[in-house]
Amino acid sequence: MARFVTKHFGIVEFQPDTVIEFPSGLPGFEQETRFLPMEQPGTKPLLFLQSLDRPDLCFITLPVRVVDPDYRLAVSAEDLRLLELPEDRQPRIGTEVLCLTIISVAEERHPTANLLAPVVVNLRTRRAVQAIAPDSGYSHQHPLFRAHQEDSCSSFADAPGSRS
Amino acid sequence: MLVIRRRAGESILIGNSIEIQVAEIASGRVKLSIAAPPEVPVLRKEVALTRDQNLAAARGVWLGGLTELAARVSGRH
Repeated sequence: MARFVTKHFGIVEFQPDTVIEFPSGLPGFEQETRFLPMEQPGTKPLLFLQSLDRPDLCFITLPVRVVDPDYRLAVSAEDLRLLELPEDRQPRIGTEVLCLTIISVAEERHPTANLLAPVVVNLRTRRAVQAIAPDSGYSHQHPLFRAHQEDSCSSFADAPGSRS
Repeated sequence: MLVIRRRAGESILIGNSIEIQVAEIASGRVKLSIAAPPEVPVLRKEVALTRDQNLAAARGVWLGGLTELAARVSGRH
């Protein structure tokens, strides 16, 4: 087991073979290449991507098909090469790749998901890229909840049944 | 906003030091050659949007509300 001291989660212990490697980092974070995926009690299906280079850097993500069950990947040939995956077709979510969307949450704003640039992880090698898909039509600020749900955003306690 | 028509091989100049040439036009896409000084960042817009979104996402780690957020995400299925 390896150990790392994080800002938000204290000391975390992990198996080194669970680490996800972004060979070229993520846009804005080109030097941060190693991330640990973590679940926390009570916050499933959220998946935290904790940097192993910077204790204070942690992305909150969701499996992309939790946000959009019909989400279709459009990974470029260049990114498929980086992922060491076949370039002639899109990889299969769940069996070949883990596909996550980075969530932006702030108290004063409604949460959004970046569907334009999903994080795609090769499940076999654990190499990852943030695969920007300019022709996909997806938004970099996709609202996590529909507009009529956002009226009640200040009280998250409303029952699921109240929003159809 | 300035709109200019250009053919393949033609250029536009921005200031004295930036040149953008239409290198090739084919099937709904153009290939551009961009010459700019090293201190001028040249980025595809979607990369800049994702960079800004990543920076915002990394700033806003808001652990207090995440239990509710997770419940809300799960509850809609």
